[in-house]
Amino acid sequence: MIRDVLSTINGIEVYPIIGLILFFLVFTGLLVLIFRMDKNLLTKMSNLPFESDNENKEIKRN
Amino acid sequence: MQLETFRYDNKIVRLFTIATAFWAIIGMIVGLLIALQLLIPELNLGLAYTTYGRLRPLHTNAVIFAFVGNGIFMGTYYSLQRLTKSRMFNDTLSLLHFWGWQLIIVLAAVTFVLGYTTSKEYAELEWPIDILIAVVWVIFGINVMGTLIKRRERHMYVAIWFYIATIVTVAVLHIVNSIEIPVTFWKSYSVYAGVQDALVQWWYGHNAVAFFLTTPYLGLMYYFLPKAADRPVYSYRLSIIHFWSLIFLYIWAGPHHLLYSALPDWAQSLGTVFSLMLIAPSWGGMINGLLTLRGAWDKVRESPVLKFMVVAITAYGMSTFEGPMLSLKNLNALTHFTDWIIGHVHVGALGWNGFLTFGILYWLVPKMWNTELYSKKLANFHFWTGFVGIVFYASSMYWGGLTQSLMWKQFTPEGTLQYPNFLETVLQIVPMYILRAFGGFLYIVGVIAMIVNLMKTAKAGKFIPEEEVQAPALVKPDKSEKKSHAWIESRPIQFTIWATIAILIGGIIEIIPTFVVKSNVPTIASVKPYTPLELQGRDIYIREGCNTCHSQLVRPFRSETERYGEYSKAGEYVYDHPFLWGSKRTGPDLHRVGKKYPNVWHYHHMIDPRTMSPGSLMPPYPWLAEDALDISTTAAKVSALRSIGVPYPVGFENIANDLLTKQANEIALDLQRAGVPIDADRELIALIAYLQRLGTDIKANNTSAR
Repeated sequence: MIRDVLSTINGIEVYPIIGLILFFLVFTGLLVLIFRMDKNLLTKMSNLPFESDNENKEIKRN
Repeated sequence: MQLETFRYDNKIVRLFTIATAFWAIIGMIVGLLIALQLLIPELNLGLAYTTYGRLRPLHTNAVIFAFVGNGIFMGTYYSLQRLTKSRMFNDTLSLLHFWGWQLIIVLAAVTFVLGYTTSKEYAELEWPIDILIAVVWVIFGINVMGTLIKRRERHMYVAIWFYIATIVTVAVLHIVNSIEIPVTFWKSYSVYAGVQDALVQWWYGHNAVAFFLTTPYLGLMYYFLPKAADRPVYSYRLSIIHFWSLIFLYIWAGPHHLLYSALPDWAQSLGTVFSLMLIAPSWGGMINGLLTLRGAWDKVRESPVLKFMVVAITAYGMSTFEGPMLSLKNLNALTHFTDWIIGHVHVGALGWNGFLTFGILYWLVPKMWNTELYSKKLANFHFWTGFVGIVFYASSMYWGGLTQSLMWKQFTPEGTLQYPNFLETVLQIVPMYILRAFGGFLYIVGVIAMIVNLMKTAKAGKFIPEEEVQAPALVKPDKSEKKSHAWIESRPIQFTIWATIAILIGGIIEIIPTFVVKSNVPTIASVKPYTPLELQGRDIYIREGCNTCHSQLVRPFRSETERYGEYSKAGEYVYDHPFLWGSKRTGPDLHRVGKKYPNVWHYHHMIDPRTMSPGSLMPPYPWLAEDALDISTTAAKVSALRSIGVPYPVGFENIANDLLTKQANEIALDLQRAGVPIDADRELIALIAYLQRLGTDIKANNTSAR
């Protein structure tokens, strides 16, 4: 029964092709974008949640 | 630099906090009640208002839109003010948003028990409430965008991106899926029919999960987890990838709810591809969350807040792995329509949404009331009852779902179904239903403990309604940042436009072809519009929520064609406004039930299902034989349907009630001959007419062809 169900996936050939193209375009674009970002800026931004409180004034760095 | 003094509004956060806790209890108790009704149908109290079919939408909507919805607004109103270093744009809008949303919830609860429903899952509310939702959502959107425009912090932190994507996408989804033609104040028909309606509905349904239960909560995770752990998020770069790839991919994956259905193959494959790709960004987000705690795991042992958050993020990872797996056609064949899916969504709802909300509440209430949590011990008690509750819930549903599905598909060596009686496969998993109800009960006990704990905390502290802070005014963007992602992070309008484009690409590619290419749905000549009586019967089917337990979709498997008959074709649904394929088979499929049993069988089965199927878990519907059918709406219904493409001839609405009465008399006469005295004007007659019509058009074709 299990073997029967897990046998073949219909039309599996097209999945990797569509997937590859989309992955490639979106992710390379994004990767280029984010690796051009300034490290200090990234640190500053990841610390934004800590800047706004009265009781928690010190700013943390990585 | 000149410092500006301003105050954060905590009062609106408090309102949403109270609403979150209140609706959590209501939504979950209704959930427990319907879980028990599956064991003891008598728990519907013999009332139409409290039957399973009407309460199930109440449960799902209360948990999603009331509990999680208020949770989203609570977290957003708290974090947005702090991340933008400014008060909410407008206090009146905040209050309008709050009270408007609570009004929607109350109206939803009332209309559902009265049987006013569109039948489309998570979009069951009728058109006047749909309009109200759109208005309140726009108020929320204006309030958030206004806050962003007058912000003092130039960069929008990642949490805010998720809030923006949520606001835009939920608006698009809600409006597109709710396009319906009103018949009366509380009755409308979806303008889409059959396959098209199914596609639009599950594009919506899937993305309601994505953009109501996931993206806003990821935003909350990116704010409250670092706050609670007192350390910044693991990787800000990863969070950028997480955001864009998630919103870009999520929107495409809707058709995985319709695998092996009458939906065209290309759309099914598209859904599967994108569902698989979704693992990447989802797990990226989970890893980013969990790694934020690197070097701080000792804190997790101490802090109930972090405990809840860690389990929430893990549950997010589990259900976002499971989702893509379930959208593989072979696994889907096994799990669709079964309790496995119920288990899957509850890992998400109880684990991810529930536990993250609880973590935030345990962090937020002591903060806003300026005190310590009343009892850590009680919070730990909540954690463990909740956790064990989830384990009971999920494991029993996985086990039960798999067992039942394998029984449906089991053949004897002679090639006949081993369990031809559907009821046998239901009764087999009743012990699992008991364990599920127990799991849900434990979970609710935990939530009650939390509410007590939070109330005691609030009582011990003093609420800070306004928090005074100082910050410099907004400065102009720095030119050097122009070429990186930082450019868009400091421009809310441009950001919103790009996020909208990202979600629209998937939506357009998925839906446009179904709109314009008529050949996607091959028509079948013998498929005719419903007769007026059948139409009224169909609306009773919708009112009673029959579709919550019965599908109308025979999949092309031998195990299903053997059990139910010919598999369902897209062309058979062209006049179905809305489609009624269903998503769960607590009872058998009904697409081929027409003419399978005599009228009198249906009569007895509706009055008391157990006389026809001993041990059945279906509730009785005796009031259908007592209440007279409202035929004052027939003409309006016919006209409304004709205006959206159902080919009723002009003037048909004038003779519709004559035809209705004629057909009703025939059925009543047949029942009277079989020894059942019933008047022809009862609702049950219309329902029987509809059930006897189901799936028979295509049979007529076969007979005449022969």
